[in-house]
Amino acid sequence: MKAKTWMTTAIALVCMVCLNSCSYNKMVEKDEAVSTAWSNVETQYQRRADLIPNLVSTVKGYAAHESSTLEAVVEARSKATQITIDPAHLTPEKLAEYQQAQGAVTAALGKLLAVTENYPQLRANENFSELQAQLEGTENRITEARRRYNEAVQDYNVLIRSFPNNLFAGMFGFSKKEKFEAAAGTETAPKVEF
Amino acid sequence: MKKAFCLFLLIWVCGSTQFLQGETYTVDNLPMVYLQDRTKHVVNPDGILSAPIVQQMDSLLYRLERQKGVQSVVAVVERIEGGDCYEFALTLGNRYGVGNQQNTGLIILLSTQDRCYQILTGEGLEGTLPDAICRRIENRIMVPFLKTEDWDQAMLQTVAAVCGVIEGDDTLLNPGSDGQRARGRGNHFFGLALCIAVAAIGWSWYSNRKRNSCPKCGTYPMKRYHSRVETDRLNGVEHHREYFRCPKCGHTECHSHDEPLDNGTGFGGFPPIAGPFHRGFGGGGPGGGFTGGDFGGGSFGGGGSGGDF
Repeated sequence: MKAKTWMTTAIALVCMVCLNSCSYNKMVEKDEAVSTAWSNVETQYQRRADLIPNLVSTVKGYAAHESSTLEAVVEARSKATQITIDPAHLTPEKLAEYQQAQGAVTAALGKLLAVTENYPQLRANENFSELQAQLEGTENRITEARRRYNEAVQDYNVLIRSFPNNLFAGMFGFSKKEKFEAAAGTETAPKVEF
Repeated sequence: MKKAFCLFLLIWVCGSTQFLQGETYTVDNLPMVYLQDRTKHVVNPDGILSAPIVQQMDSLLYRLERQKGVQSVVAVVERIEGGDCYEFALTLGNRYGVGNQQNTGLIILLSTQDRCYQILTGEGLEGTLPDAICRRIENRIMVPFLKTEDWDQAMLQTVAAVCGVIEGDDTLLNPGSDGQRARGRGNHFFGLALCIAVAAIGWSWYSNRKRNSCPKCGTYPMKRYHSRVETDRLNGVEHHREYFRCPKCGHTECHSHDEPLDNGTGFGGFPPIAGPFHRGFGGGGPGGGFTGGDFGGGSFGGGGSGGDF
């Protein structure tokens, strides 16, 4: 009986040493870091979505006949907020879908802000200026959050794909994760024609 | 000869233009004066701001750090690499880790030739100083002065306004301020001294009781019935012997110890234990001049506001 207990303890110890040496704990740590970074990305996108109704109502007060631009923003927002991704199931397809939806919001917002250039009274409105500052700040935060997410994914991918961790990673269910890519169309510089 | 003179003139003109334009600063070559002196928060390598204004800003920002734990860097330069104040400030903040553990770092940057400015808030300061408030300060205070190229007032008034907002936030506390750190250290020292004193008293009581208890039946105290002192002048010591008897079981015991030879004062020459303590405490005061600060590893997530003028 005593020998059996000793045996069990020895096996448990060997397992612990093996798991530690194959960086299982490290993989868990990096996986969690990716989840946290992803949550932060989603939080920042949500923050932007929360700002939109206020922005739209402010612009509407000055530029009511820009309804098509305003509607495009609202529509893109409602589409984007419907897509949420569980970090545990972050497949390339889902990430691309998410990125596309959020990209549509970015484009619609860009168009709206471009339109506001034609309304000096709106530009002079302090409330609008502060909303714009919040929006710019949120865009900056999104960029930063995406950068941090990509860094976390890179750390994680390097860990699980390097030898000998790659032998164990698949066994424990750690698979390669996808990074954010630059938005479609930004890889080529815009052409300016006069 | 004429050609050589023209070439020399060209080089000289180019050189002087470069000199007049001032250096283009990168995040790496911007002199972080705070690291050399923790009371200096304003980086003014091109001398754009006047000395009294820099001093006023430094004192405001030093007070802010002491009271609210907000580490700040205010940089005013002619030109920055890339010409984008936001990118520069963000890289600067994250590179040096401006801000304490609560991430309440603050960077205010002005590039006069690039004509851009940025107030960048650390992640922990975004609640106190939201983007909208930063924009309001910029619109109402900073930009009007910038447009008239009154750099001194633009920066001083902005720093004063930002400090006012941060100081008005009672929820923002500074667990790492010098005063509180000193108080914290004082409390720790007091607690340690108290523990040592209690332990010393306890140990003294225990050892005294043990020494005066009967080893046979444990009765306390044993009665001293005789004592003797033998003087060894050759070695300069006194052999003290004390004889005790247990009142219960009658067991007798002799306690002996040696003391240095009495020199007539009643105290045998004790070793000078005060010496090292005097030396130890004497050198502990703050040295002359100011010490360099260190940034607490804060991070910036992109909060704040900026623009062009």
